[in-house]
This record gives sequence, C-alpha cells and structure tokens, in this order.
Amino acid sequence: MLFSSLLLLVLISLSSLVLATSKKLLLVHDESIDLKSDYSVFIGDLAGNSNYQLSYLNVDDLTQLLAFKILNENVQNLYDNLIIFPLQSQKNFNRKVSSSDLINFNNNNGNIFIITNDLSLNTEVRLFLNQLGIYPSPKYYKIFDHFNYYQQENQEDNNSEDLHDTLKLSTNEILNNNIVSKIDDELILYKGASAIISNNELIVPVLSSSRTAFNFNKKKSIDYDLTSLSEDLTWSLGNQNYLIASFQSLLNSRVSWIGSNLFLSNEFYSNSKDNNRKVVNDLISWTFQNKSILKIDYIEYYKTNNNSVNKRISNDSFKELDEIIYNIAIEEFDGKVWKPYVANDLQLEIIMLDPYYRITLKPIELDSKVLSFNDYSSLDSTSNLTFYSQRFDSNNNNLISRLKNSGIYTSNKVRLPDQHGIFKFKINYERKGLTFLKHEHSSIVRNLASEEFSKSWEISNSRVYLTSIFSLLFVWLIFTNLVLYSIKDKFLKTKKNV
Amino acid sequence: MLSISKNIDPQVVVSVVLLLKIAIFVSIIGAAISSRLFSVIRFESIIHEFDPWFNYRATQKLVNSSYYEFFNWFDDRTWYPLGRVTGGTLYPGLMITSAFIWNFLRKVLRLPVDIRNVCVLLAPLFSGLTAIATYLFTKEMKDESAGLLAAAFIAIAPGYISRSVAGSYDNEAIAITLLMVTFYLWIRSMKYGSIFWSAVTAVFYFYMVAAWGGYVFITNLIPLHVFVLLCMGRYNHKLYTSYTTWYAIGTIASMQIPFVGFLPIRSNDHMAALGVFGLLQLVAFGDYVKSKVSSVQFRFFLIFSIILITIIGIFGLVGLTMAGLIAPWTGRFYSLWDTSYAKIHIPIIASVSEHQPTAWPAFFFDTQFLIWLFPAGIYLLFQELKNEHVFVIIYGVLCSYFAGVMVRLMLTLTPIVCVSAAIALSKLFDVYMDFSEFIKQKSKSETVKANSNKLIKIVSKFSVILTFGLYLVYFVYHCTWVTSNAYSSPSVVLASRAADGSQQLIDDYREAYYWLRMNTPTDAKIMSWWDYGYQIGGMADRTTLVDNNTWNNTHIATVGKAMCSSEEVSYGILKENDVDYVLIIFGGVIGFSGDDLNKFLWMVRIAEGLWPDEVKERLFFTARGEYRVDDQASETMKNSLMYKMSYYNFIELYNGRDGIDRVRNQKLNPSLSPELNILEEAFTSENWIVRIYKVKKEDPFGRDLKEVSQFDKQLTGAGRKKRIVKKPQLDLHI
Repeated sequence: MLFSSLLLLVLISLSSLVLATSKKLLLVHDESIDLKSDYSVFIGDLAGNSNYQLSYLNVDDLTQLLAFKILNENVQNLYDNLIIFPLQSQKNFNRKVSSSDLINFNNNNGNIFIITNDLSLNTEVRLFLNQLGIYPSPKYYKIFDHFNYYQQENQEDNNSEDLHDTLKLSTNEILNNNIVSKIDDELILYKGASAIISNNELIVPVLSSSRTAFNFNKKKSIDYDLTSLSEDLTWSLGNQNYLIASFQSLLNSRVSWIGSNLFLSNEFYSNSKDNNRKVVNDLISWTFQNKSILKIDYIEYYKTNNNSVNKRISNDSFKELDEIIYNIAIEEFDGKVWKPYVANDLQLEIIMLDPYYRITLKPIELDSKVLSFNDYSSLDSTSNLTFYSQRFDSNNNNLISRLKNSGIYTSNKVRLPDQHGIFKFKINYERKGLTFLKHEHSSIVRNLASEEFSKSWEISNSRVYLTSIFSLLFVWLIFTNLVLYSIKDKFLKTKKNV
Repeated sequence: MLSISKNIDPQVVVSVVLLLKIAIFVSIIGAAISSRLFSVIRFESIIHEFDPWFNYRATQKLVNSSYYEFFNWFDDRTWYPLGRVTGGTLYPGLMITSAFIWNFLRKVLRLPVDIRNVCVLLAPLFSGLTAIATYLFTKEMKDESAGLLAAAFIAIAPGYISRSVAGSYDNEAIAITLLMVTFYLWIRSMKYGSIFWSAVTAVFYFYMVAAWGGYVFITNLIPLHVFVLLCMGRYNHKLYTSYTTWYAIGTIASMQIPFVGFLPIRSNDHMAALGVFGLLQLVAFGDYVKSKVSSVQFRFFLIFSIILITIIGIFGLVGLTMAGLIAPWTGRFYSLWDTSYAKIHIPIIASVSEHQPTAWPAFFFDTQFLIWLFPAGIYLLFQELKNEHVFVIIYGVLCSYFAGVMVRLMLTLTPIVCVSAAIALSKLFDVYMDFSEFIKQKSKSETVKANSNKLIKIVSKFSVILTFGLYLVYFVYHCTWVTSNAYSSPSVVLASRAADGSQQLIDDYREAYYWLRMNTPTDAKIMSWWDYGYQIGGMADRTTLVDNNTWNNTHIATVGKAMCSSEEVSYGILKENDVDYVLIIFGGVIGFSGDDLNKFLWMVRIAEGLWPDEVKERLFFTARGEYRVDDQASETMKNSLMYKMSYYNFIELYNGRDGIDRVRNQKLNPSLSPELNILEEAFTSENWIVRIYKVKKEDPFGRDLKEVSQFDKQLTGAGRKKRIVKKPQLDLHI
C-alpha cells in the first residue's frame, strides 16, 4: 500500500515535471493542406511527444485568426515553438505576423520550423528567411532530377519528364549529423522547392540534392515554349540546391526550413520506409532544442599557489608569471538524457588584445586534484581576484554531485605570460549543429610589486658584482685605517716639514 | 638708514626692521594666495583641467590605501586592456605632499578636511613658499631689498600663476617651489663649499625628482654652471666639494624613484651631469699636478690631456649610444632644438597645445614690465660677475630660449625674470631712493647754487621713483587682470555671458560625466580621444582606453583609427577593445572651438603614422585642400565615424533648414544628415558639447549592422511588400 502510494507520488511528480518542461508549440496551416488525413503520422508524432503542448491555427478560419498573436505587446513570446506550413493566401497570416515579428520571436529564444513548397511562399516568411541567408525558390519553381527520381510502381508513363520531380536522395547527402543522425538505409524522398543559401556561418545545411538536380520554372518554360535551361528559368543547380537548411542564431535559438510539405506526408513516409520520418523527427527535435544542446555547468580558474598572494595589497589579483588552472564542466542533452559532453577540440584562449595562449583542454575525472573543491571551498569567489568560479544552475545542491553528469576539462597548470594587463579568459566553442558555448571573464594580471623580484643574492650572475662591491668596501676600510693609524705620524711629520 | 638714527637704540632698529620684514612677507604670501582664489570664488572648489584629475585620483588612492599599495599600484581602469603600472610611472611627490598635509590636518590638528580641498589649495599654499625661496635666492645674489622685490614679483607674476591657481593640482604647483629652493641651496653650498648645504641641496633635488619630470632642468643647469665656472678658470675646492657631494647623493637618491630608475646613468639627458662630475675630478687632479710641476710642463700636460679626454668622451658617447647602453635622446628633447621636429616625426607631442612655440605677446602677457627689466638685470650682473651671478645669467639665457620654443616652459622662465628684474629694480632704487646726502647736508651751510643743484637732483630722483612706482602699480593691476580673466577658468566648467551681460555657466562636461557615472555599468569601457581620459577616470569613474598619460602611441593610434575610419572598420576596432560607449566633444551648436572635429586632424595624423596604407590625411581635405564639413567635404570625411557622430541628428535641430556649425562657420544642408548603424545615441548634453554613443551589439543573425538598419528601414518605408522575388546574387555556398 505504502509502496503503491509512493509510486503514485512519483508518477504525479513526474507528470508535473513533464508538464513543467513541455513547451507551447503552435502549428500554423491553411485549408490547402489536409493535416488529419495526409499528415496523420507527423501530427501523431508531435502530439505523442510529451515535450510539446500542441495547438493549431488555421489561418483561413477568421474567428481563430482574430485573436492570434505570437508576441504580446511587450514583445514577449506567447509560444515557445512555431511550425509554419505552406500558406497559399498571402493576406490572412501577413496581417497578423510580419517578418520582424518572426525575427523578434526568434531573438526571444523562440524556435521556428518553416515548411514551404513550390506553390506557396508567404512573403513575410520569405523575408524572414532571406534575413537569415536562406533564399527559397519562388512560386512555380520546382526541383527536378532526370537521373535519380523516384518512380511509383503503379505509374504508367514513367518517361514523362514532368514526373521526374520526386527526388530519390541517398542519406549520404545529409550534411550534418548533429542535427539528423546517421541513417543506415539509403532512401529519402523529396518533392518541392529548393533554396540558395548564403555563406552566413550560422546556417547549417542539412540536405542538398545530387549533382544532377536542378530547380526550374516549369510554368514559364511552357508559356514561352522553352525546352532548354537558361539563367532566368533556373533558380539553383546541382549541389547548390539546398532542400533542408537549419540555422542557429548567436543567441542559440533555432530555425529550420524545408522546401517540401510532401516530405512530411504519410505517403512519403511510407514510400521511404520511414526514413523521411526519422529525418523529420530529428529535425523537429533539433529545432525545438531537444537535441544537440550543450550547457556549461561550472567554470573556475584560480592561482595554484594561494600562499603567494601578496598580503600587503588589499584584494590582490593575479600577477605576471603566476601559475593558474582553468577548469570547465560541460553537459550535453542528446534528446533523452543529460550526459557528459565528450570532445577533444575544446579550447581556452587567454587574450589581451591578442591571444597569448590557445590551449586545448584535457578531460579529467571528478576526483582529480586540479579541481579546487577541497582547497578553495571557503573562498568567496565574488571578491577574490585570484579565484574565479561560476555555477550556471540555480539549485544549491552540492557541486560535486551536480557535476557527476558533466564532462570536466582542464587546462592543467598554465604559467601566465610575462605581461601585465587585463586578460580575458575566453571559451568560444562554436560547432555547427551544437549550441554555441561562449564564456568570457576578465581578470587583472598585475606587474610584480617592488619587492617581489628575486633578490640580488638569489641571482647567480649578480654574485660577481656583489663580491666586487664587498671586496672594494673591505679594501677601502683597510686602506683608510692604514692611512689614519699606521702612517699617521709620518704623514703629519712630512706635512709639517713642508 | 642706520646712519641717520645714531641717537636711536640699534636694538629697536633691528626689531623694527624685523617687524617690517614680517609684515611684508605676510602681505606677499597673502597676495600670492588670495590672487589664486578667483576660480574657487567664482566657480567652486573644483579640480581643474585634465592632468590634475589624474593627480587627484592618485592622491585619493594614496589616502585610501597604504603607501606600499600606492607604489605598486596597477591601474586596471585606464588604458584598457593594457592597464597602467601607475605606481611606477608617476612622480609621486605631489600626492605624497598632499597626503602628508591631509594626514597632518586630520591626525595632529584633528581637522576633518576633505582631501579634495587639500588638493585644490595646495598650489596657492606652495606659491607662498615660492615667494620665500625666491627671496632667499635673490638675497644671495644681491641683498635683502632685491630679495623682497623678487618675492613680491613671483607672488603675483601671471607666468607662474597660470600653473598654480587653486584647483590646478599639477606637478608644477610644487615643482617651482622646489626648483627655487634647490637653486638657493646650491648657490649657498657653492659659495661656502659646505658639505652640509650640498647634502641639503641633494635632498631637495630628490624631492624635486619625485615631483616633476622637469627636474632634468636642474640636472643640466647645475653642471653647466660648474662647467662655465671651470672654463672661466674659477675652479676652487669649494666648487669641487659642493658639486661632487650634490652629484653623488642626488643621483643615488633620484634613482630611488621608480619612474626615474636607471635613467640618471643611462639617459643622454643626464650625461652632462656625469661628464662634469668626471671633468671636475680631472681638473682637481690637474690642479694638484700644477702645484707640483713647472708651468711649461703643466701646459704640455694640459694640452695633451684635453685632447685625449675630448676624443675619449666623444667616442665613448657615440659608442655607448650606438650600443644602446645609453638611451637615445627623447622626442621632447629634440623638439626643444628643432621646433618643427615634432610636427614631422611625433604628431602625438605636437598635438599638445602647450608644446607649441610661444607667441611673442605671451612674454609680455605673462611677465609685463619685468620682461624688459630682465635684460637690464642680466647686464647689471655682468658688471659684477660673481660665481653665483654666472648661475643667474646661464639660467636666464637658457630659459629664454626654451620658453620661446615651448609655451609651457614659460613657467621656468618666470622665476628668473622676477629675480633678474628685482635686481635691476633694486639697484635703481638703491641709487634713486638714497636721500641720505640731503639729510646730511642739512646740518652744514650751503650756497644757493648747490641748493638748486640739489633741487634738480631731488626732482630727477622723484620722477624716476614715481615712474617706477607707477609701473609697479600697473604691474599689480595687470597681474590681477590676467589672473582673473585668463588663468582662473577650471576649463571643466565654462563661463559665458548672456545677452543681458549676466554670467552663464556651461556645465556640460560634468553633466555628461555624471550621466556616465549614474547610467552605465561600473565596468563599462568608454572610448574617447585621450584628452578626456583623465576626466572620465576622475569624474565618471569608468574605464578608459587612452588618457593624457600618452605612454602608448599605438593604443592612441588605434583610437584615432577608430574615429577616422568608416563604420565597418571602426566596428571591428570597437569590438576588439570591448568598447561599450564612445564619447566625443562637439562644439558646433554653441560655438565651442576646442572640440574633437577641430582636433580631428591630429587623430588622423597619429593613425596615419601607424597605418599609412589605411588612413591618409590628404583624403580628409577637399580637392582644393580645404578642411570642410559642409556639402563640399570629401567622401572620406563624411564617412568617418567622428563626422557621423558629430553631426548625427544635428541638422534635424534646424527643422529642415540648413544646419549651421558655429565653430567652423559652415552650412550643412539636410541631405548631409549622417546615418549611424553601429552606434546609437545614448546621451547628448544640454549644449551638445558632450555626445555619448552606445556601441550596438552584434546582430544575432550574423548580418552586418548596416543590413539590419536597412531592413528595419524597409519595414517602415513605402513599398515594403515586395511580391516580385529576384534571384539573389550570391557566391556559391561552400
């Protein structure tokens, strides 16, 4: 009895935990798409995921649209995540949401998943994507591939060029495994628009077409009876056809774009043997920050020899040539659990105008001696300039138990340069598809105080000079004594004689 | 006077003279102090100008922490991110003096005085002491009456007041006092050949070294004096004793100041003192040889040794300089000899107004009628030409040259002008105020002719005395007028007259600095031209990139480059140096001519010195070589950050009419209104003198800030709905 009630309690607390962590997700669509029948698997995946609290907006339903906003009057987000399906009518949605609203939404840590296709590209959505550097092909432009197309079994005229628009892609085209994990099976299906993307470093291309694909304005070519490709009729070609592109802003909020709604449809899901579904689910969980999330738990750096702090200087800082140790703890969320982040390319920079050091940090265990917990726990890091430590969580439980889940990295002993100044200790870990880790803290490195230089007798080179000084003093003393006492009488006598 | 009062007790005479002397001194010191208080009465007890703000801040540091901490002070709030080893790069004499006075007042007299008031009133206090030192110095030259005149002159001479009004808390405030004391003690020790007086001279020399970089003047003047005396064949044992004692103690003592360190044995500026020290040993040896051998042999010995020494000396100096053992001459030293040197080679020195050559009227302005009595005094000293007179002559000649080269050296000329003029005037008064012959002759019977002769004599004497009396009165008027009008402005607060003649205070600086103090985070980094660094540090208590201690030319050039480059280039520099705010001075609205646009060419020149490929001074002028800011201004000028910051929102002030820059008297039409993408206006003071801009954050989407503001503008402007989609012209994605 007791056990079952305890279990209930645990269950209740778990469910409340789930409720607390579930994010508000809004799906915007219009009536051109039948979500219930054509996209039931996709919707089912979303609704079944306890991370999201799903709600819908049909932009063609004017009563729903009337009360719709994504930002409140203080420019705060009303939702956490947004999915926008292709919207055929321009005005309904655009009346309520502008491209700068989408920018603000994203800057407030709201994530957006955008789906467009070859028949509908909403202006505000397009302007927003253009600001990121993603340029989806406009209406009537569609991607074709005469070499790698998918052909349904019951299809009759398989030679018609018009029908070579369902691309058969190999999973090797997936460009970033932090976003979409590796799929062993080969086949992915795609039909719709593609995009040109700029060289903005924050864009992460996820899927591009094969070299033989091209994006082509079908309608125009029929009107003008053109059969060959020309510059005006194509949007993008070959490898430059990007089909899925993701974006992570400097504030770590995420955006993904996909140029095909059919990619998510039940039909494509089943035709691709659920490979499309795997891609979409990975993409959704990456975009809504349920995957590839890094977090700094703890940072500390301190002077190794705390006894060499100059007690005559109130609140002494680091000084030139001090030995310091820098430690950092990082966790990763892989979609299920928080676990230690493993990397061999994590670097610490020590900068004053230019980097003086760029050190690759080494992983260590929690019981390692270089961690300061035992020696420095009594020090107040807010007022001590030779000991900096910072926790990045709000709960106050024991730090050691908190860090059990983290990957801990150390610089080992580093000797500060022979240069005073205000040095920045900087971690700037930017990897495509992972949360950007950025941390910067400045510390004073002072010059040596007047009596902190080595004494003359400690420097072996100076002993020559010391010897000569003291021998000169000694000889001078002997000489004057001789003059004053032993030769005195004679000296005086001669003087008198003169 | 004593001769006429034979029937009066001499004891009484002595005490009357003493009383008179005390009365004179009290009034001289009173005049010296009170004439320096104009600024305190008109404005308030406030630190003036630029450098004093640093000295004040350093004094606060000394008072609030220990002496050890002050000496080892690493200042992380200036020269970000380099920091400044302030304890090792300042002359601590001034701060220690005021901290000593402050502690004395608080701990001994139990007066709860604010350190600021001690700092403000230190210069007037020391000017009183200067008067006494000048009196003693002149007394050694001539007599007490000349001394009193000199003391009165130095007390109110504008040349000295310019650097010692209340609030002008600068090194010179105490340095001139120490200069005169050291010279007085040197004359005394040289006269008597006393080791005691030489040692005291060395102690005051040490104090002077601790107080002001101008100590090099003493380091060179005393050896020069000795050298000239040697050349005149006036070597004696007194000279040897006093010089060697002073040099040995003084040099070792001066090396105890961290900022000076090993300079006395390494820098060329100090080599003359060492050379004369060596020469003196040789001369003493020669003197000894001379007493032992015949004159013919001695002549041979002399010629041979002189040639040898000259050769060794020249080769040694050249060799050591080339080997780098002796520091080469400093730029300031070169600019003393060649006035155009700095302009060509070191723009940072030339950009300081007080390093400019003096305009001739300044001599009259600063010393009035003393300037033409000065040569007369020198002439009179030539008549007598004792050893100590040689000193005054050398000092006078050297300083008149230096004062002509650099405005700020007017300060060192003023004391000797006062001394020399006082000697001339007292000699004149000695002759014309001597009425003893008339009093004596009264007792005897005289002829009529002699009587008329006497009348002419009396008339001529009175006319001379009255003339010079009038000059003296005018001198006092002039000094008061100059002090009140030219030298009593704190320059932090500006005074102007309203249309009805009432005084108006323009307090923009303090308004802006207070805004910074209250509205920015304590660790905010403020970029401004170096002139305002000390004030920002002192008044706003914020971190600055560069300040008036112009020790790092590269860092100043970096700031100059940020100011004169286009926005994209500047943004990189601002981000690299973690700048949060940019502060500029703009006088175009009320016609304040000392603003940053007028200093702008110096920023360009200094930046060009380091990056000649990126910054070109020529491009900031129009095709006809004019410096313009209106519609004819060059493109580079219009694109520079300084131009944009100065005129941002300025033309909007004129409601669509042409904006008028009242400093440069040029019209700016509304089409020139600049666009700022990387900065946003944070604060503009009441009269627009100080403008502060906040550096924008990087765009989270990785766009450059120009694109961002174009996008924002598109949203508000017409035609925002672009239905037609054009294919973007992009490079291939790699």
